[in-house]
Amino acid sequence: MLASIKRYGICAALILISIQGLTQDIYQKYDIYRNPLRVLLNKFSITATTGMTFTQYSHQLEGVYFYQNAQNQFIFSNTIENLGSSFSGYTDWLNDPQLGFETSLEDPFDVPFGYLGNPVGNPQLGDQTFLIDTDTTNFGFKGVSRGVPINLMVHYEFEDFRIGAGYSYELHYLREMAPTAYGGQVRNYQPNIKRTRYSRLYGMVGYKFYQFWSYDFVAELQVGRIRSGKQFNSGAISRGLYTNFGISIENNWSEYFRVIIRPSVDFKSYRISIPDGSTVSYKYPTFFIQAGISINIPEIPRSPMKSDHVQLKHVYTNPVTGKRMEVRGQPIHKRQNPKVGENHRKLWRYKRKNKRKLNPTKN
Amino acid sequence: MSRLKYTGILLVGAILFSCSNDDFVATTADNEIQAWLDTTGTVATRDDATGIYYYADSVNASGTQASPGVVAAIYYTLSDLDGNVIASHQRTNGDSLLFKVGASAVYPLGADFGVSLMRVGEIYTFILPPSQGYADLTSGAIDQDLIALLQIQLVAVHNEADLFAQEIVDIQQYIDDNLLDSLNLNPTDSTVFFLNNIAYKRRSAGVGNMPVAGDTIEVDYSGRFIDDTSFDTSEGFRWIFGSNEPRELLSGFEFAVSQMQTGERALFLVPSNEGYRESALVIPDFIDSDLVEDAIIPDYVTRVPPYQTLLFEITRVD
Repeated sequence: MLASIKRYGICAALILISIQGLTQDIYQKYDIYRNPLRVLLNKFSITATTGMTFTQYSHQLEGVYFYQNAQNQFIFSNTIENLGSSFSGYTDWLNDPQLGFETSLEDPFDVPFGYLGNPVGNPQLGDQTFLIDTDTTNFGFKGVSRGVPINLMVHYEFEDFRIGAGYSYELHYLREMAPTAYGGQVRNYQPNIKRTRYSRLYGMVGYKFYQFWSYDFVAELQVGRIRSGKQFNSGAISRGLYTNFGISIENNWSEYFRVIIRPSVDFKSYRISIPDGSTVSYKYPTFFIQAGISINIPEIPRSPMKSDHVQLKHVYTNPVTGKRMEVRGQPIHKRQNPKVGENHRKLWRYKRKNKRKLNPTKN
Repeated sequence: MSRLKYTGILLVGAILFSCSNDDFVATTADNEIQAWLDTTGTVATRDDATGIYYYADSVNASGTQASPGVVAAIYYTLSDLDGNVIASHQRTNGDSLLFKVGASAVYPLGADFGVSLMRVGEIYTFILPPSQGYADLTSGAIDQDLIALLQIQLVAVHNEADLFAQEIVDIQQYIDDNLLDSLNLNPTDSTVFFLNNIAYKRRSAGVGNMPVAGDTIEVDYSGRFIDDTSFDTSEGFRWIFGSNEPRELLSGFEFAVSQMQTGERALFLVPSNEGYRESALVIPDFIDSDLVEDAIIPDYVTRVPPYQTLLFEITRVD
C-alpha cells in the first residue's frame, strides 16, 4: 500500500514536471540552452528558518504516590498496599527515572532526628515532608522550557498547494516545573538536566489561502517523528507522531526569494514508564516563532558578461561557442523583470548622508 | 483647582495602594500602641528597628547583662492591651524557664530582643507589635494581629557550659540513685561514660557486630527525661545507619546505637549537648502545636524543653 502510494506520487510529480516542460518549446525552437538540473531544482523551494520555541511540559500524576522530603521528590506506584515506615521511590520521572534513596515517612524534625540550630522560624522547616496519593486529587507539575530551533525544509508547489519534507534541530533548555496544586507545600520539580536536543523529521502539506500585495499566507501542516537527546531515556519513553500546524507569512521579494515569519504550534505527547510498573503521560506542546528565508534556485544563471547591464531576463550568445543561453540581469532577491523603479524605489542619492534632504519619493 | 484636587486624590490613592498589607498592619499597630501609651500615661521607649516599645518595671543596675549566647532564666506574664492575662508562668508555677539569648530559640522572637536589654533581677514590660509577636497566629486566647504586653522577669543568666556540666552531675546522680552500677540489681555491665559524656548501661547482651554505615537498623526505643517523665516511644524505627537519610539522626541517639549488637537492650543517658541543646522556649506553651503546623518551630520542641538530659531505653531489633 505504502509502496504504491509512493509510486503514484512520484508519477504524479513527473507528470507535473513534464506539463511544465511543454511550455518550454520556445527554448527548443530557438535553441536556447537552459541547464536541465537547474530547471528541475527550480521547481523546489528551500526554506531555512530559526527562532525561539516555548514548550510547556505538563503532566498529571496518576496511579502513584508523590512523596517529598527535604532533599528529594519521589513517585512510586500506589498499588503498594502497605508502605511501612520506609520505602524507596523514583526520581527524575521527566526524562530518566532513577531509584531514589530509601526514605522514611517519619517527620524529620521530630524525635529522634537531629537538632536544628536557630530553630524558631528556621527556613529548613519549610521543607516539610509531603505525601499524597495522586488518585485522590488532581496533582502534577507544569512549566515552560525554551529552545532554539534550526529548520530546513524542501517543498514542491503546484497551484496554491505545496508538499514537502524537512528536518528540524532544536537546542532545548529545560526549566523547573511548578506544582499544579499544593504550591505552598510542594517545591518545584527540578529536572536533572539543563539541556537536551530535539530532532524532527517530517512531511508537510500546505495551502496558500490568502495573498496581499507581495505577501502570501500559507497554512501548513507537518506530521513527523521527534527524537530527543540521550538525556531522555529512550528505553523508558514511548512517543507517537507529532503534528505541527502553522501559518507561514511570506514576503515575496522576488520570484526566487522570500522572507518568512512562521508562527506555529506542535502538538505532541509521550509516556514514560517507571520501573515499578506505573507510567506518567506528558503533553508538551511547543509554540514556535520562526523567521527565515525561502529560496528557489534560479533556473538560469546571471549574465557572465560584466558589461551586460540588461535588467530583464534575456538571451546571451557566447561569443566563442555561439551557444545561446537565457540569463538573468538581477540578483535572486530582486524582481527579475522589474518595472521602472520596482527594484530601486529609493534612489541612491537620497540615502545615507542625504537622508534628511528633500526626497520627492516621500511625498 | 479641580486638577489639583484630582492630582491630590490620585497621589494619596497611589500611596495607599503602594503600601503592602504588612506595612498597613505595622502602621496600625504602632498607632494603637501609641494611643494606649497616651491613654494609660505610660512612658515607653521605642526600638526603631523592631517597633517594640518597652519600659522597666524594676531596675537592677548591678545585675549581669543577658548578652547573646548566655542562657536566660525567666518568668513571664502575657496579656493584651486591655489587661486580659493570656498566660503566665511565675515562681509559684515552678522553676524558671530557660532559653538561649540571641539564638532564635524563643517564640515570640521579640522576647529574644527584649531579654537582651535586661540585667538579672530586672523586670521589663515589652509591647510587641504583631511583626515581633504573634503575627497572624490565632490560638486559644491569642487573636490575629495581637499586640502583646509581655512582662518578663530575668531571674538568672547561665553559661551554657555550666548547664552541660550540671547535666553530667545529674546523670551520675541518676546512676547512683537507681543503682545502675550495682551488678546485682542491674546485671551484665557497669555503666560506661564515653568521651562525649553519654552514659551507657547494657541491660542485656546481643550478638553480632556493631552497625556500620549503610546497615539498615531497626530499633524499639522509649525516651524519658531524667525525672522519668516519658517524652517518646517508638517500635520498629528503621533507618540506614550513617546515611543522613532522610535527615540526620540526633547525634547522641545514633552514637548510642553504634555501640549496640543485634538483640541488645541498653539504657543511654544523653546530655543535651548531644541532644536538643537549647531546643526552644514557646511563650505561651499552649501554642506550640500551632507553631509546628505553621512550620515555625521543629516538632521536637513540643516534646523536649531546653537543656534536657534524654534517657533512651533502646532495643536493637535488627
